[in-house]
Parts: sequence; C-alpha cells; structure tokens
Amino acid sequence: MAATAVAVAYVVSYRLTDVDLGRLANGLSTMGGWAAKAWPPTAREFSVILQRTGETVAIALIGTTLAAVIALALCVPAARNLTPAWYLRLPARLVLNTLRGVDSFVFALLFVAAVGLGPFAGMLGIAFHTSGSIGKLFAEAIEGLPPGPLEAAELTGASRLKTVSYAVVPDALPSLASVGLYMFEFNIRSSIVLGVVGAGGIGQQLRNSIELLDFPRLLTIVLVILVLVTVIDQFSGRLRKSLA
Amino acid sequence: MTPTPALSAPTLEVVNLSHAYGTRNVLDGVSLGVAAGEVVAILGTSGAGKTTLFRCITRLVHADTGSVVLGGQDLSGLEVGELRRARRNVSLVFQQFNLVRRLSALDNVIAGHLAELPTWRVVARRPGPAVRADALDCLDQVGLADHARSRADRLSGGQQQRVAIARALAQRSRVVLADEPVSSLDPSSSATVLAALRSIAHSERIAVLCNLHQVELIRGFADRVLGLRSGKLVVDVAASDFDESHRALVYGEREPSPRP
Repeated sequence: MAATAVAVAYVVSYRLTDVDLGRLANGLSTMGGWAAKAWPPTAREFSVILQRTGETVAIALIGTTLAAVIALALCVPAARNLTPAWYLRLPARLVLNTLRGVDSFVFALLFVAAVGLGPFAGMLGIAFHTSGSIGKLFAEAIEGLPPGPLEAAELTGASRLKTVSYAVVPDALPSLASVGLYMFEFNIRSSIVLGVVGAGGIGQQLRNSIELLDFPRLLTIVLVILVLVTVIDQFSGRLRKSLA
Repeated sequence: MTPTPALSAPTLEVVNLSHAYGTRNVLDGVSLGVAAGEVVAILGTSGAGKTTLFRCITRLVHADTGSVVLGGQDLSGLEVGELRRARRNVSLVFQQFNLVRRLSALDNVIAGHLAELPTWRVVARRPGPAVRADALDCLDQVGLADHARSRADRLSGGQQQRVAIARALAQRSRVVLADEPVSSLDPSSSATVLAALRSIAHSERIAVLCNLHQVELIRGFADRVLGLRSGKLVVDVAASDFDESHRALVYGEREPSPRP
C-alpha cells in the first residue's frame, strides 16, 4: 500500500519536473563551450569583486550575530525545562518555527521591497530566518542539559534569572557558540545567493556575468567564492572542534 | 559574612508527615526532629520513603498532611516568594553532586551565595572579593583549597561531593539535607565525605539530616539514627544504641530469637 503511494509520488513528480534528457545533453554541451571560453579567468575590476565578496561576509556576520541575539531572547521561553508554562512556551515555539520556516531568500525579497536594494535588506533577511533556526537549536541544547545542577541552584532560594544565568549558561555556552559558528558558515553560502535578488554581496556580480555571457569574469567570481567558502569552513570547523 | 536571617529555634521539625502516590502510602505519619549541631542518619531500603521525605521537607513535593517546621517557621503554607526565602535556610547535598560541570570548584561553592547576591553580580559573574574569600574558606574547611581553580568535572567523585558540601556550607543554612551523599562513591571516598559533613555539623552548629544506603556508614558519623520502613518511622535511637534488633526492624529481616 505504502509502496504504491511512493511509486505514484515519484511518477507524478518526474512528470512535473519536466525531465528531458535530450535538453540536458544539449545544455551540457553548451556549458562545455562556455567553460572553454572562460579560461583564463580575468583580473579586470578585481577590486570590485573583492569588495562585493567583503559585503557578502559582512552580511553573513552581522546577520548571524543579530540572529543569535534574537534567538537568545526566544530560546529561554521556548525551552521546556526553563519554561514549563505552555501558554508562554507554545507561542515562543510558534514564532521560532515561523522564522525558521521562511527562507532567508524570501525574507530578503520582502526586505528589498521594504528598505530598498542593497546589503541591508540581505542582512535582515539572513537575521530573521537564522534566528528561527538558531533559536530552535539553542532551545534543544538547553533542554538537553542535566536537570540536577539547575534544581540544586533553585533550591538555594535564588530567583529564576539568577539560577538560569548561573547554572544554565556555563554548560550551554559551548553548544550555543558551536551552533552560532555553524550557522555563520551556512549563511556565507546563503548570502552569496541573496545578491541575485539585489540584496547585496557578490551574487549580483555573478548574475551579471552570466547574463552578459562574460565567462572569464564568471570563472573569476566562482573561484573567489570557492576560496572564500573553503577558508571559512576550515576556520569555523577548527573553532568548533576546540569548543567541543 | 552575615549569616542568613536568624531563626528563633534553629532546628528542623517534621510533624506527622504523610504522603501518598495514588493509593500507595509512601510516608505514613512520620515525625522527627534535628537539633543544631546534630547529625541524624536515616536508614531504609529503597522505596522506604527516604527520598520522598526529603522532597516533602524541601517542598518539591507538597505533602498530603503534616507539617515541616524550620526554625519555628511552618513551611507548609508559604507562598512562592516566602518559600524562596525560607529555602535559604536549607541546603542540599545530592547523590549525583549536581555541580555545574564547566565551572571551577570555587565558582560552584560561590553558588551557595546565589540567593543573597544582587542579580547584576550573578549575571555579570562578579561576586566580589568578600564572597570569593568566603568560598575559598569553605573549600579549605573540606580540604580542597588547592583545587579551587579546577573544573568541577575534572575532580573525582569524592572531591566533587566535598565541593558540594562546601557549597552547602557557603549557603550558611541552619540545616543540611544530604540525600544518599555517598551512594555513588567508593568506601574510602565515602569515609572522607562523611567526615567532612560531620565536621561542619559540629563546628558550625548545623543540623544535618542524612539519608544513608548502608548501615555500616553510621559508625563514627551519626549522633542519632532513624529507620524508615514502608513509610513509617520504626527506629529512633542514639547511634551508640543502634544494634541488630533495630537493624532487623528497618530491613525486615527476621528478628533474632531472644538469647536464653
């Protein structure tokens, strides 16, 4: 019964995605032609490319940091062991799920309309979506803490704020930092794409190059992006290992 | 260091405490008292009601009937704010130590002052030199001043428990409740931990009520021994008077036949 349903889903989806191997073959050979024209990569206007790449990193950095601040505020009411009251916890979870559910890209589009083209819209898009993802991960990290130390702190007669600050933060901090770094890595890649809709960063350059069929420039940009992503991943990965 | 607000009669009294989970009577009319500076051990099998008794005393569980009187103050009817203040007078030592793993021994002991420290000091993690010095002193009293800067999870079980005792000491409470404090420890560490507990009880005039899993541990540790069996208090004697018949009462073994 289930197997049939799955089979049907696949058949229908295959039709809907308009798969056409002939078109793929043609397209690949066209791209092959482009690849030939792309070499060697050009150093023309390299400073502009670097500037836009810097913008991309800035969008990811500020956006992720702002997201972490928002998430910190929301994760305490969202964690079951800190907030047993469902009427506080469920709304917090709902907000987090909504933020997480709407992609950075969609938020960025909305913000471009609201605050204009440029990296500010991109940063806000990243911040809003990421706060949902980070908030959920933060809440789960907190829920995974051993209950004993928190109970011990509560029983000294201290207030909620003091016990959370004292007993939760030190043990949760490494997980929280690790989550933040992971999302920063992820957002570098997200921010690259945002430029395509005018929300700042290298994405705009990428799109221009393709539309103008300027393949050497396209290759340059792709190489710069590869280097950026590799460097960030390495750096962030090492930091996260040292936190474990 | 100012002690917690003075209590008129610094003892712990439990009066006719009863509590049931569903139809099962976990505590049945338990009454006991602990005087300042006295070490009272509670023996009993698992399920005899020892942990429930403690949870009722700290009001983590609201007992069905009976009352808990701490220094003349009845804890039963207190509101949240008053209960919080009253809790300052009871400190706990847990079987699982319950230290904050990543904090140093010293920072864990400072937790004893959590209730009285201003919130900003706690959040900014700046307790101030007086509190730090006091915490170091408490660690010294349990013989761990050298390990003040060590991370809690790098210490041995016995050391962690002694840090927990130092934390209880720092709280300047009049009562310490120790819930099976040495059940996770080897015999040698157990002896050290219980000695530390006894020492602070006598030197600081603290009333210590301690759940113990093994009868042998009361020797050289307890001043008085209570025995719980199926929720009832069946033994209440001075430690020096505790003998085989009392042991049999607590653990339900056959009574030894009277000697001819």
